[in-house]
Amino acid sequence: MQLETRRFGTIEVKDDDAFAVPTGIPGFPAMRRVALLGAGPAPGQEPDDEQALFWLQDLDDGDLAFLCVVPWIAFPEYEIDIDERSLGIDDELDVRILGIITVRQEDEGESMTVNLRAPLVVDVAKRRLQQVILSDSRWPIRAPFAVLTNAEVS
Amino acid sequence: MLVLTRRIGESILIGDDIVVTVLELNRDQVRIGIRAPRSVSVHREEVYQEILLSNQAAAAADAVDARVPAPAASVPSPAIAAPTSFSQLPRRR
Repeated sequence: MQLETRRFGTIEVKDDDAFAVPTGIPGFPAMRRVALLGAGPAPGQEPDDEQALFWLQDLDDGDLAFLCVVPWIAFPEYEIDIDERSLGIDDELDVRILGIITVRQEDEGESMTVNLRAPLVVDVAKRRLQQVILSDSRWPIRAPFAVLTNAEVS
Repeated sequence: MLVLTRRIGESILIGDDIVVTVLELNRDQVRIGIRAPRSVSVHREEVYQEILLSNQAAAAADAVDARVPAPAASVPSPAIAAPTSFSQLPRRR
């Protein structure tokens, strides 16, 4: 399918690449179909490092997209305990985790934080994802991830 | 809203398998115990609200657009097939 997006213009998404979001996510209950689009390595990674950033693009609202990161790139100590069965996941090998990034404009540049408290839990076998609120309060909703200083703007 | 009066140690049953028990009273605070299946998510309302606000802030963050390569604009379209490569990502530790 072709999708008009505000950020990326027209993009092509194969139907097979879609993920279902059965219950939406907090604040966006209507987001039920998404695609995960590679957005390259994270700040601080080498250009040819493994891809760590992804855009979570709503397939029904081209204007809605979330920047996400594989959390262990920046937080190697991160660990989560989820009950796969109660989340409807058959095999824990099918689980992938992403953290939603928030960017804030600040004086010295843009600061990026990652929501480690409520990660996106992706089931690559059933092609579904959900945002799970962990009961472990060790993990912050706004974990400092990177600051993109104005000096880096070319 | 259903309003029930309970004493310390007394419980309320919600459905077949959720038990809410009043444990302790302390001036303007109440300690509540909740026994529920793991499939039921239980959170302080503020935590849910904070995550909702965080999601909204994340969705609104246009500032990032200029810094992060857009999948369609900066890479040839085969690379957009990220879900395939996404599945190849290392598993959680």
